Formats: sequence, structure tokens, C-alpha cells
Amino acid sequence: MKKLFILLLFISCSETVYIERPIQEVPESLFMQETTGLKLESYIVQDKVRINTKLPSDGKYRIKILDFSNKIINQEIITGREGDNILNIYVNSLPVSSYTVELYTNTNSFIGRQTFSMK
Amino acid sequence: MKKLLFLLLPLFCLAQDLKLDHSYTNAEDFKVGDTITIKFNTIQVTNNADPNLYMFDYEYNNKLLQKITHRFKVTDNEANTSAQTSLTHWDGYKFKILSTYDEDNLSAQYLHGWQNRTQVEGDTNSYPTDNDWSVERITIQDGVGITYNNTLIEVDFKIKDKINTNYSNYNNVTHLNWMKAHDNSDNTAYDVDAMQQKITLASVEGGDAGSVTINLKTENDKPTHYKYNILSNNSSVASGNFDANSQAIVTGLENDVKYTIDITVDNEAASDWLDDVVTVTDVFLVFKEAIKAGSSPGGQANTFTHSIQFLLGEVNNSGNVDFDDSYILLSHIMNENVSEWFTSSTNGAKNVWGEKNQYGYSTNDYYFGQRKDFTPTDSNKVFDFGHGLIGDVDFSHSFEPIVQSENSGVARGVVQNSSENLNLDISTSLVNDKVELVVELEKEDLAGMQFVIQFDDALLEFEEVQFNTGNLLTNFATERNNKLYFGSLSVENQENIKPGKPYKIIFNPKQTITNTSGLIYFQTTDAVTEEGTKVILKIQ
Repeated sequence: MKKLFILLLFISCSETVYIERPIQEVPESLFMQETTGLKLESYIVQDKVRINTKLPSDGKYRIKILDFSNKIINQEIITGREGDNILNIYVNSLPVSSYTVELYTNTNSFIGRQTFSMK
Repeated sequence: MKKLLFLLLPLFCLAQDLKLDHSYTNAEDFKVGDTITIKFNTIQVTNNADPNLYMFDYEYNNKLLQKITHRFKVTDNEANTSAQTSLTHWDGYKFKILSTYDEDNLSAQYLHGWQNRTQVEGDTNSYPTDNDWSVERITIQDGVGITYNNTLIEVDFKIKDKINTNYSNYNNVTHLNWMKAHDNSDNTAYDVDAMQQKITLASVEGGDAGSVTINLKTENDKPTHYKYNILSNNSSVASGNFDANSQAIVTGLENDVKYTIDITVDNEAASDWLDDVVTVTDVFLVFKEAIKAGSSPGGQANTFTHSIQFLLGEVNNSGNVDFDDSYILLSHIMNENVSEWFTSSTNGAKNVWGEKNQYGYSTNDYYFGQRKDFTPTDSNKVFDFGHGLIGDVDFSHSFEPIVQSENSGVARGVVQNSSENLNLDISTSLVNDKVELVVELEKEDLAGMQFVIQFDDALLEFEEVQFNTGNLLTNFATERNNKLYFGSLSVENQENIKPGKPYKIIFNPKQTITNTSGLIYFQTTDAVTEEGTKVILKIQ
């Protein structure tokens, strides 16, 4: 009861509302020491692969998938948060081959690049 | 000073952690037609180097070697029975070594020559096109270190005859391009050098003097989907498919005998792309030709630049190119097959072919230049044949003639001699639990655009296309299996596609997804300006 009272007191007195962000759980296989970048969970891919897009700040970013001739065959605009963002690359619609994944800011400044092959 | 040198020497030697080697396993008395096996393995240099991920590229000369098959052997090693393996293959590319690093420094060539090549000023393309070479990428990963000295993979090749090539020997027929060797558990990158970087076949004997080469000339990048049948007195003497190099090497023919050749598309193998042959550019060009608009609306000149386009654009067997032909092609891109006389997945390929120097040049003997015979001699054993497809007036999947019929009355330089590039922004995103694909356009003079996208139909269900293209345009969107064909065409040429965001495609996810990367494959794009100029779209 005392705790509830303190909580109500805090809510009623505080003018600034702090929004708690859920902590992004980063599996060991996707942990990155670098402050920004891109990491794949596996380099041989079937169905889908998890990726970590580690971003410098909140905002919109581009994930591009390029084929061997550097032609963009898929591009996603994500709204990411500063730090780790665990996402997926789905590969079932792609012809079996090897592809490069690139991470850019929304204004096309390069952040990171990795290559994977399909099983 | 001497002491310093002795101190530095071991440091240089320690720079590499492992070596990648490749070598043939056969005895050395090679003959044309022999099968050789090349094995790849790594050799440990530094004791604690323990990579569990290998990714490397090598290339081979496809004029001198024909790949037969490959076998991964890494899983035969007791320690790596669970290793995952992958091999991908590309024809027509050759690695351009980054000259600021040693050629045999494979890890540096990986990091700087391939992975970060786009950041090398003035030298950004690591794989320029080169028809003489094929590239293979081998990836092996395991939960434990990959053992050394054991064979990772074996690749079998057939030795080809060099008689019809530009090569005088079999030197350097393979090359190790780059290698990434990592320990995924702690992301350690290891330095890799090449041991034997190139393979030379010192003496190759023999060679069939009767080897005849048939070269297929087409703009299509699927030459293996084309079949040949060589006939003598109406009896087949040789048949097969063209190889990835657009060649057929035929033996058993006689000198000074006239043969005829049939070149046709294998409809079963080509079922995936036959509907991509006719696009908005073809419809627009046939329509302009039908109204005799020439290079500008309202004119009286021909739009076609080659007489063979009258054959390719005549798709209702009426003998003329007119409005009916353009509406038949328009119906095709709107998913209605109203004629059997043009190339589509429903109709199959409608083939046109002829000897390269005659193809497209009509004479009394050869209708639209379709000369189908050839005669091997002692001095001539190489023959080139152009191939076209009915409906394909913009030559996107057809050989463009190198000759022009006299008095054909066709205009020149409208389409074939002019095309332009256009950067386009296409992207997907997850919006309110739906997947949206948006096309953004800045160019103002486009009379037609068409897109083919392939989507993961296990995860996505197509909902709708929202057009914002203008009031007078004919828009279309067709779903076939897991492909979506959509676009617009200014049939009356009265209005161009409105810049902005002309297309928004909406899909419903069938299950929860975190994001959209890879769910949609941007397969082909096509566009044409109001002047009839083909526009090559490059996604940015």
C-alpha cells in the first residue's frame, strides 16, 4: 500500500513522462563490439537468417540486398532504434545464389556490409 | 641493422595464419576430352588459427575447361561431419585483383578487393564481365574448427579443345581470387595466402579437327535454355543444349557437307521467363509503328529500326503490323492470351533464327534473313547464329541484326541506338502490420513502365496495387503464382506517368514477421519514354 502511494505520488508530481524502452536481447551469435554495423547470424542461409543492425541513433535506415552483379534486388526501409536491432532476412523468394546485405542511413550513407550464400 | 632485420623477418612470416591450396589429382598426360579433378584444401601456418567459417571465390577459364560436377569432401572428415556447405556459380565474370595488395594475399583481396571494393576510388568493380571466365563461391561453416590438410571440395572439369579459342596453351586455367577465414565464435579474422594460386595444364594433346563450334547470338542471359538440332538430308546428326557460354561444340560432322540447324527455346526450361519477353516497350513500339508515328507522335515515318521487327511484331498472323498486334501484346501484359502467334508461357517460344551475317537481311532465298544452313570446311569451323522471339520488337531477349535490308524504309536510331539510364527508388516496409512496396519516380516523360516482382507466398498474400499514375493511362496488375506483374502504358500517347509515388503494392503477412527484407525479389523492370526510347531502370 505504501509502495502504491509512493508510485501515485511520483506520477502526480512528475511533469516529464519517461518512456521505458524494452532492452533488446542480443544473442551471443549476433553480439557486436563495434558501436555500429551489421552482423549475420549465419553465412549459409536457408529460409531466413537473423541479423543485427546496430544503429548510431533512432531513425529510418535502408537494408539493401544485392546480387553478384551488384544489382539491388530488394530494399527495405526500417525504423530502427539506437543500438542493437535484431531483424530477419527472408530468402525464400530469392533465386539460390550468394547475396550481399548492406546497411545504409535513409540518405544512403554506408554503415555496414556482409555476404551470405544460400544452401 | 642486421639484428633489426632478423627481428622483423619472423614478424613478416607470421603475417599469414593459413594457406588455401588447389591442385589437380590426375596424372599429367592430359588429352582434350579428359576429365580432371581439382581439389581444394587449407594448410595451417599459425598454430592457434582455428577458423570455422571459410568463404572463398575461385575462377576458371570456361573456354578451356567445362565444369562437370563438384563434391564437397569436408564432411568426410570426422571432425566436420556437421559442416554446412554451399556453392554458387556465375558465368561471364573475372575477378579484378586489387593491385595495392599482393595477388596471393587472399584475405586482403577479400576485405579490400571484394568486400569493401566500392570504397576504392576509381576501381570499384571487383567482378567486371568477361565471357571467358566463370566464378564459383564456396562457403563452409561449422560449429567447430575446420580441419586442415583434408580436401574441402573436389571439382571435375572436362578439358575443351582450344582450337576455336583465342588461347594457344592451357596456362593459368584456374585462379584463387579471395578468401575469408573467420572464427565465428569470437569474430576473429585470419590472414590467408594462396599456395598454388593458378593451375597450368602443361601439355594437352589431341583435339578433334572436326570439332565445330556453333555460337548462339541472343540478348537473353539464359543460353542453356536453347536447343540445337543439326540435320543432314532431314535426318538429325547432332542435338543438344547450348552451354552457359552460348556455345555448342559439335563433333562427328564432315567437312564440305551442308547442314541445316534448328535453334529453339526449350519451353519447359524457359517457362519462368517466357512471359517476360513481351513488355510495355514492345507494346509501345508496335503501337507507334501501327500509327506510323515515327520518332514523334503524329508523324508518318516508321518507328521500327530493323525490317525484322515487322516479323517480330506481327503477332496475329495477318501479314501486317497494325493496331490489332499492339492490342494483342497489350492484352498479354494485362494477363490475357488472345493470340497463339507470339511468345508467351501459354504459347511457348516462337523462334526466329539465321546465320548472323544474314539474319534480318531479306533476300529471295532467306525470308527476313533466316539462313539456317552452314558448311564446315578445313578453314572454317565456327558459325554464329542469331536468334529472335516473335513479339520481342525491342530485342530484349533477341539478337539485334547487324545488317540492314536495302530499301526497307525503316527509320534508324530510335530505339536500338539510344537508351537511357534512370535511377529509381523502390523499397518495402512494414506499415500497420502490412507489407508495402513503394515505387518513387522523378522522371516526367515516361509513357510506359512495367515491373515484375516475386514474393514469398508462404509468408505474404497479395492484397492490392494502388495506382497514382494519371487519369488517361492504362494500368495493369496481374498475379501469377508468386509473381506480380504491374505497370502502366500510355496507349494513346496523350499523358505520361505522373512522377511521385505512382505505385504502392500492399501485401498481408500470413504470419508474424519482424521486417520485410528479402520477402520481395525485384526481378525485372522495363520502361519506355514518349519518344520510344528504352529506359534502363537502376534501383538505388
